[in-house]
This record gives sequence, C-alpha cells and structure tokens, in this order.
Amino acid sequence: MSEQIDERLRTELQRQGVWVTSMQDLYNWGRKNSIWPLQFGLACCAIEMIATAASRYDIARFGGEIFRPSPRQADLMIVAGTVTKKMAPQIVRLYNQMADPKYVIAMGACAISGGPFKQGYNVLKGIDRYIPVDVYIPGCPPRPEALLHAFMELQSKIDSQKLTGAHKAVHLDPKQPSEFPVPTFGKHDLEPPGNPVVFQPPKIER
Amino acid sequence: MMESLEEIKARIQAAAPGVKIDIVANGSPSQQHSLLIDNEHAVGIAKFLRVDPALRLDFCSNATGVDWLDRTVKKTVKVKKLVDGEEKEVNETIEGKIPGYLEAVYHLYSITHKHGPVIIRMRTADRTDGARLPSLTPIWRSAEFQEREIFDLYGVRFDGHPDLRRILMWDEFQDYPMRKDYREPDDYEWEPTPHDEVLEKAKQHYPPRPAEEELKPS
Amino acid sequence: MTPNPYLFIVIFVGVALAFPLIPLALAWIWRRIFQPSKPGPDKTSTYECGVESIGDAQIQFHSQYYLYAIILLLKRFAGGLKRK
Repeated sequence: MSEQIDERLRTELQRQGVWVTSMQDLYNWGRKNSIWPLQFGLACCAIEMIATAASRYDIARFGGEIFRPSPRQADLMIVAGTVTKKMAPQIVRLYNQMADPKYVIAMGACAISGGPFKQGYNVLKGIDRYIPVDVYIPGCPPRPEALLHAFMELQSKIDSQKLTGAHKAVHLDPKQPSEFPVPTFGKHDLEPPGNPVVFQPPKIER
Repeated sequence: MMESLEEIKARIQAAAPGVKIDIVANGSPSQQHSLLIDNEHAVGIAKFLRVDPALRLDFCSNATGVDWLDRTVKKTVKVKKLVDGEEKEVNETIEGKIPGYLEAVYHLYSITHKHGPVIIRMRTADRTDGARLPSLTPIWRSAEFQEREIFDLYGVRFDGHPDLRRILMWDEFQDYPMRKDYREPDDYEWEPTPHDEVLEKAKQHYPPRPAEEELKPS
Repeated sequence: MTPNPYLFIVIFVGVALAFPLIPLALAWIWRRIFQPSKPGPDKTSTYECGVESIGDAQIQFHSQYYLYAIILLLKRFAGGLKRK
C-alpha cells in the first residue's frame, strides 16, 4: 500500500489491458466521487448552492448531488451564508454529529470571515473559529462555478490523502479529534470566542 | 387628505383635557413631523388615534427605538452688562445640559382611509432604571415583535407587553447592542487592511515597533 | 445421476446471504484495520437537529390531551355523518 507502483509501468500495463491500482487509490477514488453534502443553508449563499445543485450547473456531474437532511449520512458540510453567533453552536453540533471522514467548505465572505458584518455585534467572524475548514470560497455570494471549483479542489484534496504513514488522513488518525467543543452563550459574547486548537489568527510582524 | 398634526393635537386635547402633547419638528427634506405623547396617557391617545372615525389609524407599520445620549446645547442670549462703565448688550453663550433618554417611534397608517403616516414618539425618563414605556401592543398587535426588538436592542421595558423577551440575541446576553455607548467585546484578531476604527484597534493589539516610531517624521 | 431439484434453491440462498454479507464484512475489516472509531457525546446523541435536547422523551402526557383528541375525532366523525 505504501509502496507506490511506478507510474510508467502502470500506464504501460493499462495499454496492454491490465488495470492496476492500489488500495489507497481505490479508496480515495470511491470517496471523492460520491461526496454527500449536508442539506442546510444559512443565507443568500444557499440560493447559489441550490442553483449549483439544480440542472443548469448540475453538481451531480461531480457526484455531489445527494444532499442529506441528516448529519449522520453526510460527508461534507457546505457552510453557505452568514453564521450568526446565535447559530454557531448549532453548526458546531451538526459538525460533531457527522460521521468521519468529514469535510467543510466555507462558502462566501460571511462564512470565511464575517464579511460585511465582521465589525458587527452578532455575526461570527468566520466558522473556522470553531471547526476546521478544508476549502474557502471568497465571493458575496460566490457564483455556482466557484462552488464547483471548490468541490473539485476538495476532490483533489481527498485524492491526495494518505491511508497510512505519518501524514495519513485526519479521520484515520486515532489521536486526532472528531468532535470540537460547542461554544456556549455568554453574557457578552460566545464563550469561548474561538477554539485555539482549530484557529489561530495570523501573527504579523510590523 | 389627512388633517395636520396641529389639528390632531388640538382634537386629542379637546377630547381629553390635561394630556400633554408636543410636536417634534423634522428639519430634513422629508418634513415628517411627529407627535411626542406623554407616557401616562399614551395608551388612551393610541386608542383615540385608532378608533377616531376621521383618522382610523388601524395599521402600525413600524416601531423602532432611538438612543439619545446626554448632550450639551449652546444658546446665545443677549445680556445687558456693564462694560467700561456703560451698559451694553453683550452676546453670552449659556450651556444647557439635556440628560439622555431612549425613544420609541411608531409609524401609523390607515388602511381604511388610505392615509398616513402619523408618527408618534414616547420618551423614557432616563437611560437606566427609568427606561420604561407603556406598551402599545394592546392597541396595535403588529407592535408586539417590534417592541420586543426595541427591548432587545435598546433596553426599553414595555409595561403591558404580553411577552417581553429578547427576540434576536440569546437570552443570556446582557448588553443592548444598538445603544450608542455599547462597546462590543474586544475580539480583534487580524485584518489585512485596517482603517478608521479598525486601525485604532489594530494599533492596540499590534503595537508598532520602536524603530518605526523613530522613522516617522515628527 | 440427476442432481437434487432443490439444489438450486440452496445455491440461491447461499448467494442471497453472501451478497449483502461480503460488503458488510469488508467494511468491518476495513474499519478494524484503518479507521479508528471516534464516538463522543454529540455524535452519539439521539437527535440530529443541532439543537440541544431538553429533558427526556419518556414523559407522560396529561390525560386531558387524549380527551381533546377523542373530542376532535368525534367532531370530525359526526361532521362527516351530517354531510351525508
């Protein structure tokens, strides 16, 4: 498994009609072509997500058309829209309830940073304060093509995940957590305001 | 054509003597002047506005809050004074202090007569313990959620409201975020292009290096 | 010698059992070798709507509730009869 077959030998064999693969490639091939997103939307980005799932943009071409209404059956969480502080604990709880392996796409300016509401009092400054995000899509709202691009980026990320070794995928590592603490409603803000395990603001040298 | 605010005021005061009503002028191009009604008789006045056959203001389209901080108002008054032995008229500025208060503003329309808006205001005694107003929800049911919102964001307590709870923020929240002196929790992280107020925050969190200070032209 | 005519039923049952069991067994083996199970309080909770559940599902409804339901049923039934 860890010993990769030589690429040139593989193409040569394929030319002769012999198809060779590794367990890892087979596993990732199966996973990346049937990603089931969790069906929920938070704001206007959700309309673009619906458009992406509908016939004109057709996310089914990439195997992601099965939107599941239950977190237990979903692989991917598309955080489409503004996450208010009142909504954030529910989002984290839904993420915790998803079965491994699970991925998150933060769609739109609000989901990645709070967007136009960043300096406001009731909008979370990005969902990556509480849960790990795999792909960020900027835009307000991003076009369906952007979501498809993010989806393909996620597919290539899944394709590159290792089955064994030191750099194996997060969900295969027993030491990596699968659940993250759910913030509670505090007197002035969510408590804690961020999860330092997941998110650390960039330090700038001035 | 709807009658003017002066006429409405006169008719209310004729119907119920002793009711205090002021007209708050709006100097902006919209010219939407409003009636400042007194809190004690507010429900009665509201009922009058609703049932009066000429007005029939049966629809409260909007209720909102306004926060007024303590302000100082400067007035120039001509005062007679002795200057160099003779009496002269001198302009003198007097500083007056107006204590802060919270305000609730209601926009009323009539669906029966197709006219409006008539704007009424109520003012609280102060911004702390006296921030109470009578609820107009018994008169206009549509004010229920909007009064809850005013309570949530401005902290005005409405007496007689059927269900006064926070509506947008969570129940454990203790601040009133639309008040002018609200300070959000200091959760500044990092901003690629800070400016204005955000730049001030950035300076607090990321103090500039001493070398940079020296380089700055004094 | 002709084979037992019921033999194909035995084969059929065997295939019918193997068809679902082999993928399940493969999944089980895969989980044992590669994927560690990571249960947690949120993941194993009963409800999956994202909101924390309040109280217990095993509560007793007040008997008045059933009375209302019966009255409602009777009314609907009587109304249906009247229309006829």
